[in-house]
Amino acid sequence: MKRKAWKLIAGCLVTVMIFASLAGCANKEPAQTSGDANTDAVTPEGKDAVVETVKGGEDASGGTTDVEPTGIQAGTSFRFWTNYDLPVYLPWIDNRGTALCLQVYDNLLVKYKGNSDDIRCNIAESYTISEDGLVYDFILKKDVYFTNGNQVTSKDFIATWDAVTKYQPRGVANVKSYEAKGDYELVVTLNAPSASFLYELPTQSVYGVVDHTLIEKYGMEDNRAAVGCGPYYIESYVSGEKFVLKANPNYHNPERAPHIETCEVVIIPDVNTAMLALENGEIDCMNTVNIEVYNTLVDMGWDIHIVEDRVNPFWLNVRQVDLFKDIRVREALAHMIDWQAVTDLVYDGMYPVAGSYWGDGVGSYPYSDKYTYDPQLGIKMLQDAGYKLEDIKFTILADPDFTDMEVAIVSQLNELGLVNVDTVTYDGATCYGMLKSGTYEVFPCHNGYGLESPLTPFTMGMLENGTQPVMFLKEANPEAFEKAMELYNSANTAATWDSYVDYVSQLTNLVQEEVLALGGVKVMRFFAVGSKYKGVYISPISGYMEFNHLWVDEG
Amino acid sequence: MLKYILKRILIVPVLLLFVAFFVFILLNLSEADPVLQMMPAEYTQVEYDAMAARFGLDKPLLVQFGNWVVNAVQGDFGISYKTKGPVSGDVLYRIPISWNLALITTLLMIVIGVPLGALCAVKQYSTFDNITNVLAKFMGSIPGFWLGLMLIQVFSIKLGWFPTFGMKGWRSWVLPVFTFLLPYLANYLRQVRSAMLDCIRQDYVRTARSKGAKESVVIYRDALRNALLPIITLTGGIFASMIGGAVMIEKVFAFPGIGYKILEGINNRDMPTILACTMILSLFTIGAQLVIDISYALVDPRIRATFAGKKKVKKLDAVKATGGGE
Repeated sequence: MKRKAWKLIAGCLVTVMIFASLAGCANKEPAQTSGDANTDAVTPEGKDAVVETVKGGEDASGGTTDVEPTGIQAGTSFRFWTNYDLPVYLPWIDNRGTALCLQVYDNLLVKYKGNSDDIRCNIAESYTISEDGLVYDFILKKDVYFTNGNQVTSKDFIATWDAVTKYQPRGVANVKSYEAKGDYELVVTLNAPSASFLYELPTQSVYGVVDHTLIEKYGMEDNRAAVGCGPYYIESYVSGEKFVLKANPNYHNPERAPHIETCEVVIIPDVNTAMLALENGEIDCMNTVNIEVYNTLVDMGWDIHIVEDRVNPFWLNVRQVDLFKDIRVREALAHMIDWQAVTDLVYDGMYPVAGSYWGDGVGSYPYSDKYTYDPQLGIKMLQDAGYKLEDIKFTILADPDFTDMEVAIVSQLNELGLVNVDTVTYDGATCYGMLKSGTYEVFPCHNGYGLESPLTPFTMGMLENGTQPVMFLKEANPEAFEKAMELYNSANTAATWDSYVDYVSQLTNLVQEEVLALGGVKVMRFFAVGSKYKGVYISPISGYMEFNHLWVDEG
Repeated sequence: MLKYILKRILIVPVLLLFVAFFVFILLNLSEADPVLQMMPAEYTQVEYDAMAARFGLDKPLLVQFGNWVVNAVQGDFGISYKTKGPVSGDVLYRIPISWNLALITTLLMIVIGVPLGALCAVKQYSTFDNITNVLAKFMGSIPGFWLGLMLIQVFSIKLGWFPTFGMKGWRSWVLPVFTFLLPYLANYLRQVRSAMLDCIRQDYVRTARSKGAKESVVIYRDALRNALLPIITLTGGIFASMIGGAVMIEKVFAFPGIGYKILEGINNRDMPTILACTMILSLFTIGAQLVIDISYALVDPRIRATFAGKKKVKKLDAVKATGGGE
C-alpha cells in the first residue's frame, strides 16, 4: 500500500514537471505600450519599436534618405501573411483577393503609392470625359504586354469587363456599355454621371485586365486564364499554402516597377501560428486590427506601421426594437457611452474616438455633437420621455473581434441603471448572416465604407433592397428619409468629386442628426514589417500593401 | 466471404445517397438564401433570377438534388457560392493531405499504443503502468491547439528543428502528427490495456498457462490476438474520424486539409463545399467500416467459420436434394 502511494506521488511529480517545462516555453507577457498612437513604444529588451501613423501616400518605412533602386533586386524575397485561401484567383471571382490582384492585373488608372488623391494613368495613355459626364474615352498605351507575351488591347478589356458583368455586377453597376474602337481605344458609357467612377476604377481589382485569348480558351473560372500585365505574375499557387509571385521584368510603368524579385503570399489560418512564424523568420510581414496581437508584436521588437481603418458605428435596428423608433431614446443612449473610456480600457487608447460615422480625415466627415458623453443628460432625457431605465432593453450583437468593446459598453450602460442591456457574441459568419437578414438589435459595422465610394454604406444600408440594412431612416423619420433619398440620388449623379463628397457629407449629417447609430471608435490596422524592407506603402482604410514599391535595404 | 464483401460494397452508394440527401435537406432548411448571398448590394429581380438560374437554384429542391447527384457522380461537385470557382479541384487536392496525416498518426498510434497498452495490462499496477496511466490522462487532457503552439515554441522557435507551419518536406509533418497523435494515443493505449485485461482473465488464458505454454506465447497468441478484435473497431473509427477531424491541427499548422475546408464552407454558408466535403468524409467513414468488417473476418476465426459453415450447410443441402447423401 505504502509502495503504491509512493508510485502515485512519483507519477504526479513527473506530470507536474512536464507541465511546468511546457508552460515555461510559453510567450512572455506583452509589453505595456504607450496610449498615444504617435509615440514610440519600448520593448522589454529596450529596443524601440517604431510606431507611426501612415496617411495615404506616405512612405511608412520612415526611410527618407534611402534611395529606391531602379530595377529588380536579384535574389530578394518578401513573404506576406494572409489567413485565407483563394482557390480561384481571377480578378472577378473572389473579391477578397484585391491585394493580390492589384499586383497581378493592371488597371487603366492607378492610385499612386496608395494615395486616393493621386490617380494617374497606367495602361491608359490618356482619357477624356464628355461634357455630360457620361462617356469616358480611354486611349491605351501600345507597349503593354501580358506576362505571356501577348499585347494588351481593348479586346482584353471587353473580355474582362464581360466577366466582371457576370460575376461582380456591382463593380460595373453604373456602366451602361463599353466598346472597343480599334485595338487601342476603349469607350465606356455610364447610366448617369458618376464622380466616383474614376476613383473606383484604379482601386477595384475586378477591373484588372486579363488576356482575352485565355478567357476564350479556358473560360472565366479557370486559373489557367489568370495572366495579367501587372508588376508581378503568379509563378505558382499551392492550394491552401501559398502564392509565389515573381517580378515582371517587362513591366510597362516605370513608376510602379517592382524591386523585390519574389513575393510569397503565405496562407496561415491561425493568427498565433502566424506570429510564431514571424518570430521564426518564416514570414516577413503580418497585419492585424487586434490590439493583443499588436502588443505581442511590439514585445517581439517589430517595427509596426499603423494605418487608419474604418469606424464601426453601433447601428440601432429600429425594425427590431420598438423603443428605437423614439428619437429621444436614441439621443439619450448616444450620450450615455463614454467612448474614450472604452478605447482606454480595451484598446490602450490607440483607437481614437470618432466624431462621425466615417472618422475624421475623410472627405465625407461631418462632426456631430450628438455623441458627446453626458450620462446624466442621457438619463434625464429618458426620464423626461417617460421611460424607466429598466424599460430600455436590447442586445448588442458582437462578433469575436469586438466582444471586449461591447462588454465594456454594456458594463457602462448597466452601471447607469440600464440593467436590461446585454450583449451576445456569435462567430463572424453568423453575425454577417444576421446583419444581412436584419435580425439583430444593435450591431457595429462599417457597411462597406471606402475612400473611393463613401456612398456605399447608404446603398447597402439605407435603400429598400440594400443587402446590409442598418440605416432605418424610413421607419425612424419618413420625412428625413425623403430628404435623404434626394441627397443620395444627387450624390449618385454628381458631376464632380467635390460635389459628390459634399452630398455624402450632408447625407451622413442627416443620418447622424437622426442618431441611427451610437457612435464608435476608429479602428487602427497594425502592420509588422521586417526592418530591412523599405518603401512600405499601405492604402488607408482599404489597407492594401503595394509589393511593387518595396525594396530591400541591402546595406 | 466474397459475397459478404460484395454485399457490403453495394450498400456504400445507397448509404452515400442517404447522407447526401440528409445534408442537402438540412442545409436547405437554414434561413440563409444562397442567391441573396451572392447578389451585389443593389440588384433587380431579373438579376436575382439570372443568378438563381445560373446556379440551378431556381428549380425545385428535389430536382436540384438530382442534378447535384448526377454531376457529383461524374466528379463535379458544383460551383462554390463563396469563391464562385469549381469546388472539385480544391476539395480533391486536400484529400491526400488529410489522408496522410490520419494514416501516419494512426500507424504511430498502433505501433506505440498496442505494445504499450498490452505491457500496462500485463504489468497491471506496476510503476510502469501507473506512470503510463498518469501520462495518458495528462496527454488526453491537453487541448490540441495549445499543445500545437507549445510544440512550435519549443521545437521550431527555440530549437529550430522543424518549420512552424506549412508543408515543406518531411519535417513539416513531425509536429502536426505528434500534436494529433498524443490525445488519441492517450485514449487508445488505455483501451488496449482494458481489452487486454479482459482477455488475460479469461479461462482459455489460464488453461494455456496451466498447459505449460510460455508466458510470451500466452500473451501474444492467446490474449493479444483476442484483445485486438475491439481494438480493430476502435482503430477504424479513429482513422475515419481523423480524416475530417483534424480541424485544429490543420488550422494551427496551416495544413490545407479537408477538415479546415469544411469549416470554411460552414462559416461561408457555402453549400457546394460543405456537400462535397461531407460526401468525401462519409465515403472514408463508410470505407473504414467496410475495412473493419473485413478485418474482423480475417482476424476472428469464428466469423470465417460462420461463412464457411454456411457454405458447408448449403453444400450439404444440395447433396441432400440430389439424394447423394444417403
